[in-house]
Amino acid sequence: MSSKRMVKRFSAAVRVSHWLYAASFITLAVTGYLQFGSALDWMIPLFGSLEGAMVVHRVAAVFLIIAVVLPLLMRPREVSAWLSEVFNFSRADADFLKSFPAKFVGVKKEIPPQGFYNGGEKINSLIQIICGAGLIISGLFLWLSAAPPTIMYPLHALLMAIGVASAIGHIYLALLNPVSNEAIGGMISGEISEQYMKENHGRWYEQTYKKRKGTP
Amino acid sequence: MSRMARLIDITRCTACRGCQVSCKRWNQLAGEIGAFTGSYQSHDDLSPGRWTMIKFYEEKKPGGEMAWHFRKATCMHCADAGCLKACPNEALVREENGTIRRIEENCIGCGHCVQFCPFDIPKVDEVAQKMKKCTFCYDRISNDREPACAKTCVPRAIVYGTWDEMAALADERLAQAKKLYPDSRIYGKDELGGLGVIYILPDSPAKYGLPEDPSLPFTLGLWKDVVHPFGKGLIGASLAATGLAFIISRRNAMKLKESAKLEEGGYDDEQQKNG
Ligand code: HEM
Ligand code: SF4
Ligand code: SF4
Ligand code: SF4
Repeated sequence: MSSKRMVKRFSAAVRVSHWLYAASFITLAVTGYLQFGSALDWMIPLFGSLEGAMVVHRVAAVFLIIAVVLPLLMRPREVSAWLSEVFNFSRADADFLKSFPAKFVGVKKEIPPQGFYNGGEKINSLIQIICGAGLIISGLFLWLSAAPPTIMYPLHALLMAIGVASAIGHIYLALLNPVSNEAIGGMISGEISEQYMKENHGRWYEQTYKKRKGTP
Repeated sequence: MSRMARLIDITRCTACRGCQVSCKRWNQLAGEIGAFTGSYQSHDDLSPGRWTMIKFYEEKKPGGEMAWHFRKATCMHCADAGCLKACPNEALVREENGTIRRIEENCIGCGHCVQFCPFDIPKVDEVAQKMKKCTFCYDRISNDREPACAKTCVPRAIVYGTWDEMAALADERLAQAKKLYPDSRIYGKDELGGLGVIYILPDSPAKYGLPEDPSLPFTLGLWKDVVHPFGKGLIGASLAATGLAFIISRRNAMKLKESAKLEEGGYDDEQQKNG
């Protein structure tokens, strides 16, 4: 039990960026939502007033942008590996999605061997990349332009809704779902168990060990 | 109470700016000295402390002759008000008498109303973080007094009354105006569901800095009528789906534990202790 073999998954820079992004995103979503709907209006006193919340929205936006730029500067190779995986949707990813509904409700199922990211993680990454980039661009227009193109208003709101809806699923899978929540360790300590790696990322496992054997 | 309106008859207006002063006086707005604008116009634009003004427009006719147009600019208190729809915090409301009234406490100075007013009327006071515009003298008209600008107008270019009366008066005035200005026309009766200001213009709206056929950008409807309800539905659906999945996943986990107990004769934690 205690002698689980661990494998390295994410570098410290990427983990810091992930959590900085997560904290800023949640802050932005909450403060932005105050303008969007009324379900969170009880939180207004937390920010002093709606004006205060909109100041917090802008401060959090700066942190979100830092969270995006940081790994691009510090770990460009890790980022480009992520991007090339995410934009390379394979047969195995599609097969993964077929087994996903069972996984979503906590039933363990044999899944086709996955690479470093599985099909679901790729889709989540894709949605977050598109929404994140779009929110930053439209947000900067709304913030800095004296007369922003009016399409930026509905665009910003739409991307928020899509980004938040998918983040809810992402948070659930990472924290609460008994089948997949072991993965959270990869984002906290940077490591996951070899067992989990073998079961959930078979192709990554193989590639890693083939490489090791191949090296003289 | 019925909808009220101002008739602003540009064929009678003499550009004396009496209304500009009277508005300042009644609303206790401080005077501001602006830079020279290159024409007879007093200031470059409306401001948080200037809710109405006479705007001047110079036109060079084909023969080289100069023509001069001017118009009292003010909030139109539109039936279909873009500002009101864009406001995120219910800081703008439509009163029964047609006033698009701003509620001071609710206004956060975000300026969304500025982007969606077809007439470029609202101005944000960046220091106070409040938008300011013509109030239609709401305090006066709800006490049966006419707006300060209408009261002061000597040639009776500004007339105040019910919307229907003003629409009828506009027809009368137009018939008279046609004799002097054959191209004159009514502006504001049909535009944006009927404006709270009905103009008699001596010539085409473009010459008075008015949009020929004012409309609200489709992005406003897209934002408030499509994206907002869709977005709320999407977030709600995501919460509901994950909530449901969470409950099912816990029940599945419990079932697994039960069967582990049956097969191996002991609870999870006991097994862990033993293993
Ligand atoms: C990435 C996460 C973000 C989320 C979830 C988010 C969410 C929102 C939401 C829901 C609104 C209200 C829109 C409406 O009423 O329909 C809003 C407004 C706004 N957002 Fe964001 N936003 C994000 C990022 C940004 C960024 C990066 C910036 C700036 C760089 C920004 C700047 C603004 C501005 C200026 C407004 C207009 C409200 C105001 O005037 O204060 N947002 N945001
Ligand atoms: S003129 Fe502009 S500010 Fe006035 S009611 Fe119409 S949209 Fe609103
Ligand atoms: S500036 Fe004030 S009135 Fe205008 S949209 Fe924002 S909150 Fe509403
Ligand atoms: S109605 Fe009142 S607030 Fe509006 S322009 Fe006239 S005097 Fe000013």
